Amino acid sequence: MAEWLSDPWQYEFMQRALWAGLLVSIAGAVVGAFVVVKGLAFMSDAVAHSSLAGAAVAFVTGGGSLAINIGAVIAAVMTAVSVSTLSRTARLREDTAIGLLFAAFFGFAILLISRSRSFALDLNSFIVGNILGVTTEDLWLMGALTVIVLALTLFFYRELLFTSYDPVMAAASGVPVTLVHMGLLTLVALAAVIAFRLVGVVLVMAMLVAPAATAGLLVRRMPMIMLIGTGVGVLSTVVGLYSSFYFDVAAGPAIVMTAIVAFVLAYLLSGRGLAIPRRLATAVSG
Amino acid sequence: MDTPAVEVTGLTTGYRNHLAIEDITFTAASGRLVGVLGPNGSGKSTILKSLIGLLPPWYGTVRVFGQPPGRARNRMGYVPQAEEVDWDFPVSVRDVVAMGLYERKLGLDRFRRVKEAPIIHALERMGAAQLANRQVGELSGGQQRRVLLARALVRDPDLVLLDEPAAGLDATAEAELLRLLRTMADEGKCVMVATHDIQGVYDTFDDAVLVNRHLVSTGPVRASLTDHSLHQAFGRQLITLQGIDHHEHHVEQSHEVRGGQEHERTR
Repeated sequence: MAEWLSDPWQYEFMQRALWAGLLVSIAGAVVGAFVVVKGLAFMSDAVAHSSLAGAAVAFVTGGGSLAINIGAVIAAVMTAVSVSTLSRTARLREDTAIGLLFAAFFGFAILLISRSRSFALDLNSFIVGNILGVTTEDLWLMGALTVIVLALTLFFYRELLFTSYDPVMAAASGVPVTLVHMGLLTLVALAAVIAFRLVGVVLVMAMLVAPAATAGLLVRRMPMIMLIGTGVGVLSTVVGLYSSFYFDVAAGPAIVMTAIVAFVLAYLLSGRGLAIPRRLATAVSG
Repeated sequence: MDTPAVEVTGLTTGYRNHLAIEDITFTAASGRLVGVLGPNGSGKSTILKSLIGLLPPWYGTVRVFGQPPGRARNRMGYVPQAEEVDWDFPVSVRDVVAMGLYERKLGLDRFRRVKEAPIIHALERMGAAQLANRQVGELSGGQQRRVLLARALVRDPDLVLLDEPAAGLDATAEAELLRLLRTMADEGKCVMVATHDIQGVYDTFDDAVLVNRHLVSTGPVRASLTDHSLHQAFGRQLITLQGIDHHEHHVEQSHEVRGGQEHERTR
């Protein structure tokens, strides 16, 4: 049994995968807590998909791993800022703006990739992630981005919390709410770029939403949601990596499915699964 | 004479391209309980939002203690309508009240712990000290209102603005709230309350600002709230509220309709 447990970690690629999972779990839960309470899931998804455009541009112009990641960050931040700007100036609903930019960036990325035969091989790892192929260089980059996310969140925590909770009152108190909102979307973009190496652009949303939503069922304070969410993320990574190692399934989806199972368990354990029929009964009886 | 707490001159403003209020002029003094009265959609909330600095004037000026609203922020407390607040948000009562102490600063002193004393004091004043560690989502409607009030009062403001504070409160809670507002006015604060409920206005408020997109009248309640001015502001809605002469209003109403039809035809 002990061997069964320790075997996978003899391989360096598994160790790197675990480190990557830890970083994704931290950034995912910290930013994810805001994504969940503010309803930014669709936004996160769009940002993750758009990041592919920047990665593709970097790749086509001959950039290496670092350039590809920086390209992804730039495209993701551009999407986040454009959504915020477009929804305010063109008087569009935010989710319409997200839909448009999502399509524009992702379409552009696929267009570029379709021109380049060699990138097609890498496309797969972008779409579904390639956690077992994470290099040390990738890890350093993910680590740096995670530190940036944590530092920004910690420094502007009060503004982020106030703006998320009550934007009207926050504005009245002198919080630059538009700037803070754009900043939050930028954090989402950074977290998405950190996460897409792990699970791929398609499933990034899962790492931002599932652990924080799970934590949100169990605890009712933002810092606790971030902490428990990180734990859920790490647990999902470990279970997902074991599954991948022993059952020969793709690691990214295995991690995501574990996180979803954690959510379902939390839902049942928190008593909300039972509370809903009860609440309905009270509502009916008046 | 002292600078009035609030001085609004020729204020015209709205949301994006939509005009909400036009040419509003009034003053409000410290130590007075002022009702901002009018039917739904008459621009009461817009006036309060202009005072707190959320809506810049298109025309006219707003002065709070002689300054533009942005500079008088620390002297104002604002209680938004309860439905404008996200009660499912995972924050505690203490967190919410602490938001009332927000100050814009970018130095490292932002990491200093928030002072407890004013938070507890504000909650005590609302009779809600025992709620400090509760989640806002667990509170009843009346308790939620008290928390919003505590947040508005935590900095001990000189001007307190409340938007429909009695909505959803039962009679006891409403009476308690009015008593509290009276006490604050007697302490020398200027307390402004936006409400569409004009029952008991003569006993509740000292002064009134009666609006229906335009200013209808303003001044001490007995002088400014006459049958005529109330009728002008509330029109048809007033009938259900006060039971003013049905017949007279009916005639006027049908007159308007006929006029409107003629207008349509000539176009």
